[in-house]
This record gives sequence, C-alpha cells and structure tokens, in this order.
Amino acid sequence: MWWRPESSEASGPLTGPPLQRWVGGALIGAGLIGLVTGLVAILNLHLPPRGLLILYLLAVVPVAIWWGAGPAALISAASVITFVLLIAPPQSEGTSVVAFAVFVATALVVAGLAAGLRRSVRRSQELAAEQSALRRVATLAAEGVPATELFVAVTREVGELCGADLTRLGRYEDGGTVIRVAAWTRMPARLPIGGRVPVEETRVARDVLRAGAPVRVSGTDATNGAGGPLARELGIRSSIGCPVVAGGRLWGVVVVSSRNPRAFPPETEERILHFTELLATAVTNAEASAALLRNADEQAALRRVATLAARGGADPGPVFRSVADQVGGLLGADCTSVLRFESDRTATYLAAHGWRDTRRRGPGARWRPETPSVIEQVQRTGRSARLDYASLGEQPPSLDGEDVTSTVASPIVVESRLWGSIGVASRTGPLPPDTEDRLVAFTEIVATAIANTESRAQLAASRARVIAAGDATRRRLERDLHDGAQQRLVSLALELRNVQAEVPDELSGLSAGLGRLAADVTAVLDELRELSRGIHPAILSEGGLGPALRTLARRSPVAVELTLRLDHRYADAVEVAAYYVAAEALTNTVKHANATHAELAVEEYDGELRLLVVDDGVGGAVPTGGTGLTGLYDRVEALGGTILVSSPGGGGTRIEVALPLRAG
Amino acid sequence: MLWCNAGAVVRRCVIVDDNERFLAVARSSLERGGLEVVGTATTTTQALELIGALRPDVVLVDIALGTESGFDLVHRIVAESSARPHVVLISTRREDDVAELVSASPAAGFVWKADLSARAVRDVVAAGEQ
Repeated sequence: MWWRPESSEASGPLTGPPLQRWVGGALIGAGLIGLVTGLVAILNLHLPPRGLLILYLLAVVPVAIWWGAGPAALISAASVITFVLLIAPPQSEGTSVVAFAVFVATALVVAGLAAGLRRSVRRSQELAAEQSALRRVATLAAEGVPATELFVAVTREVGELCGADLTRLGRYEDGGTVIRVAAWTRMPARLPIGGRVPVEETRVARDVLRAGAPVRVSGTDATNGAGGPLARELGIRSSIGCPVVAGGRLWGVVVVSSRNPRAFPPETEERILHFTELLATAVTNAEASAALLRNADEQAALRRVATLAARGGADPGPVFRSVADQVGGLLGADCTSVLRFESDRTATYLAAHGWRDTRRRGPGARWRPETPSVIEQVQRTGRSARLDYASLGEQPPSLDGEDVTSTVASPIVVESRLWGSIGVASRTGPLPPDTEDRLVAFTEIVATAIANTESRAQLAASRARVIAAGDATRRRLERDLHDGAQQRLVSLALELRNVQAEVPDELSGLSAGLGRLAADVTAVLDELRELSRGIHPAILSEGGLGPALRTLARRSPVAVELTLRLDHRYADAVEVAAYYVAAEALTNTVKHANATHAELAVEEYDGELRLLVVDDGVGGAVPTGGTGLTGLYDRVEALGGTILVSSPGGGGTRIEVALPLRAG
Repeated sequence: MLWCNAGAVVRRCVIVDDNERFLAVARSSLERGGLEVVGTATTTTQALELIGALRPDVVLVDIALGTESGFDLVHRIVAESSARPHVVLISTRREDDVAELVSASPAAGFVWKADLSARAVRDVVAAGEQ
C-alpha cells in the first residue's frame, strides 16, 4: 500500500513533533494545491469552474493521511482561498459562500476519515508486528534454545517493537545484586554482558524491585545508576522498566530506553509485559529443567563418589580424586582442590583438578594458606568463604599465573571436627551465588564418605589388633609349653634312660619299670606336641612361611604340589594369616573335598603376598555355617587383603588370597 | 661300616643349650656312651669361643637358644670356626616339626633330646659324612 511506512521506522509524520508535522503538511499541501490549481485552470477552459472545487480534495486527502486532520483542515481552507483568488472570484455572494462551506465541510469529513483509516492501519500494523515478534520469541522458547539466545532475542524484539534505542535484560540475584544477561541497541555501541551491580545502585531495576510493577523514568533520572555511563554515552532521555515474574518471584527486569523523552506511548508497558510473560514462562521451564538436570547430574556425581567410598578400602585417595573431577564439572568451575587441614595450620593437597601449576598442588603437597585466601578463611572460621578478584594484583601468591577471578571454598566437617576443605575457582567472572550452597551439599557427602572410610579403617585396625593379640597369646602359650613342660619332660625321659642304664642286670624288674616310665614320658611328650602344634606352628616363628608351608605340604595326606616364590620373612600377622589360609584350605580339602591332588602356590607380587590353593575335589565349599572359611575371611580382611573362594559343585575348590605387604 | 671309622674320630663333644638341667643329664648320658663332653655353653658367643679354644669333634646345638636361634649358630660355626667340627642339632621338638629347617642348614643332622645318646650322635655324624 502506498502509505505503508517502513515498519522499523517508528517515528513517522503522524507521531513526529507537532511543529514538524504542521510545517511538513503545509509545505506538501501547498505543493499539491499548486498542482491541483494548475489542473483546475486547464479544465476551467472547458468546464464551469464551480464544480471543479471538489478536485482540491486531491490535495486535502493525502495531507490528511500523512499529516493528520489538523493540517488537512488548513489545506482545505488554503484550497478555498486559492480557488477564489485564482480561478473563480465570487460572483454571487450567497451561493458562493454556501458552496465553499460545503467543500470545506466535505474536506474536513474526508480528511477525518482518511486520518482515522491511516491510524487504524498503522495500529493493526503494530499489532501484527507485535504478534509476529511474540511468535518468534515463543517459537525460540518452544525450541528450547539456550537461555542466553532467548534473552538476546527478547531484548532485540522489544527494542525494535518499542522503537527503543537501548534494551537491557537483568536478572535479580540473591544478595541484592542484578546481573545483566542480555542487551540490545540500534546504535553502534559495545554492550557489556554479565556485569553485576548492587540493585540499590540502579535506578530502574531498584524501582521495579520495590514496586513489583512497571516503572517509567525520564530526564536525567533515566541515566542514573548502572546503565549510567552507557546511557549517558548514548544520550538516553527516557526509560521504562518492566518486571519479569517467573514462578511467582521477581526474576528480573526488562529496561527499554530511548534518546527521545517522549518516545514511548502509554501502551508501551503493556506491550512489554506481553514479552515478559513469555520470557517468564520460558525462564520457569528452563530453570525447572535445568534444576532437574543439575539435580540429576549432582545425584549421579554423588553416587559415583559414594560408590567409590563404599568400595574403597583403607585408601580414600580415589574418592578425593573423583570429588575433584566431579565438582569442577558440576559447578562450572575451572579449578578444584580437595585439602586436608593439618594440626600445624598447614593444608595438604589430596587432589586437584584444572590448575595450571600442578606441581604446587600435587597429592601430598603441603602449603600454609596465606591471608587472604578462601582456604585460610575456611580454616579459621570453619565456614564457607568467597573471594572475587577484580584485579589480579589482589591475589595471594598461590594463585600466581592462574588468572583466577573468583574463588569459593567450603569446609569438610567430619564428625563435628573441621577436617579439610573443598575449594573451587573460576577464570571467567564470579562463581554463581549458589556455589557455596551446592559445595556444602557436596562436602557433606564427602565428609560422610571420609567418616565411613575412617571407621572402616578403624574397624579393620581393631579387628587386626584382636587377631594379632590372639596370635601373640597362642605363640606365647606354645613357647611356654616348649620351654617349660616339654623341656622338663624331655630331660626326665633322658634321665630315666640314664638311670635305667645304671641299674644292675640282676634288677631286671626295676630296669623294665624304668623303661616303661621313659616310654610313658615319651608318649606324654607326643601328646603335648600335638597339642602345641594346634596352638601355634612353631616352625612358623622359627623358620618363617616357606619352611612352615613345606612342612604343611609334606604332612598332608593328600598330595600337594607346592610352588613357593618367597625370599624373606614377612610381618608376623601376614605370615600367620597366610599359614592359616593354607592350613585351613588343605584341612578342608582333606576332610570334605574327597580330592586326590591339591596345589599350593605362594608368591610375592606387586606389593602383595598372593596365595592360591586349588584342589580337584567335589567343591561346594561355602564360607558360612561356622566353617573354617569364615575365620579366613576375618583374618584376610583385617589385614586389608582380599579373599576369593570359588567352589562350584563338582568343580573343585579354588581359594585366592592377596595380602598387602605395606606397613600400616 | 663307615661309621666305625667316623666313630673312632668322634670323641670330644661340646653341648650348646640354655637349659642347665638338660646339660647335666645330657652330659652323663653321652659320657656313659664314651663321648667326652669337653665343654657346655648357653649362648652363641660362649659357644663360638669354646669351640675355638677346645676344637671338639662334634658340637650339639639346641635349635631354641632363648632369644637366639640355633640355626644361626650352626651357620656361624661352619663359616667362622677353623676347627670344622661336626654339628648336630638337638631339640625338644620332634624331627618331623623341624625337618625343613634342619635339611636347609649345614648341620650333619638332628637328634631328639629325649633320644640323645653317644650312639645316636655318632650315627648322625656318620650318616652326614656319607
């Protein structure tokens, strides 16, 4: 349509400044009057002049459409005057006046209609533009584009629709700050994103937060606050702020601004609110699904850590490494550390992830946290701490070369004592305000895992102590028997033989009696020997595992194929455990397996003593019902070792044991 | 029989044992069988000195010498003594219990203390020489 203005050109002749409107209308109208007068002059040669007056509507209507009814009225008056002066001077006063009055009235009505039509068309154009803008945003939201993309789209659409020069979208944060998440301008300017400022320092955002409703400011007020420098640079003279209410709470604010103090018609707030509602819906959905995702991620990460902790034995190292890896990814941090606090105020790195200086943060590296640092604050206060660095100059030496801009640390509290800390750091702006909370949730699980590991270690240690104490008692009993009763009985037996040898031949009865006595003593010695062998195998203390196992194999009623790769003595507990495993396994083989052949292999390998007992018997051995196997599990696990019993029915029995050889 | 030759050589004997009562009983038992007990010791150091000074034909060593090990003493006698005596291990434990250790040591053999006699010692020495 010929009157259709540029859709992006918000300020047309109808909405422009009044003076400009009148001048423009008058000039164009005068030109049109000139053209029409020329046409009328030509036609006047053939037609009666009075009927030609109506042609001046050709000048009035375009002015009415473009510049409104007011200028059109002026032009219709000018038309009549021109007509009277140049074409047809009034001949009869009465009829001429009536004709001119009819023309003016008709011109005014037509002009009013034309201007009204123009406004309706324009309004429907605007509505159509708004609808399609809303539809575009809704489509983006439905497609689930990343939130940042949606925010940018909203600022652009709102800005274009309202004829604004600058549009900003801010999100209110806990702690009284507002962060700019998107911005748009039609002017060439760099728009900083991610800036975070206290709400109190921003005029529009503050008023919207207080009112919970749209706010309009104009004049110098509009340039105050955080948008200040940018707004001043762009020459902003008026702004409107509209709240974004998502999920029942004030989520953020949309601010549209213009250099024109009267740029925004009264319905602007309502139009912006259509967008903020859409935005709120999208935000609510996005936050809900992000929260779900995050929750699921967190749960999965915690599950991984917990599983590791549950599986891990005395060494919680893998748990710490896993925590360092998981926390970083989960909280969007670039670097992570897991530290244990020592009694001398130093901290020991247990695991670290993402740092450039890996040597400084190697496992076991000690460091005295400097002031100010988040770790030092956690160490001192036992509470979460945060430090955001505006410039690298403020950073402690330990962060040299890391380009870290924000650090947060939370305490690991194990059974109500401050055990250590998990710290995270970011190289790209401040860590989110909920970092501390999420970290705390994590440290609690870690603390539980550590407590579990510690009590597991304590349990194993106490079990090992109980078993070691039992072993020591048995060894002492055996030695007491040997040094005491056995020694004396041996001397007695030998002495009886000596006496028997001295008895004269004629006392053969006495000699025979002494011989029986000596034989009795020897028999008692044999019984004692069986007893003491059951208490503790002397050869284990005397000669170590190798000779003890060889003796065991030699005495076994079932043939034992023995393979030993041992070259020195081991800790008592390890030797005794290995011996009892072998002895118990071979006893089971003899008693229950109905086997013809057994293998016993023991070797030192990779810091462990590995023992394998295999037989070709009937299998079906189970470590329950008070069999000797249960005791073996106790012994092996108390030493932090592993035992694997495989005994399928009819498939023989295979027992594999690994005992760690390291101290502690 | 080879042991006759060997038996002719084995006359002088030292006993190393930390049990005084057994030392007394063993001495009378061995001497009645014609084995002269030239000295007794209760510790490793004492034993090595005695062997160096007396140069016996045979040394009887108890496996359990209080906190010391008879096996260690056997090794030292073989390694350090110029006298090169025969060494026979003795113990209140039965041979079956310590066989692995006895066969691994350089001793000529083993005699259970309750069976100790000059003849038993000579038999072991003779068997060890074969």
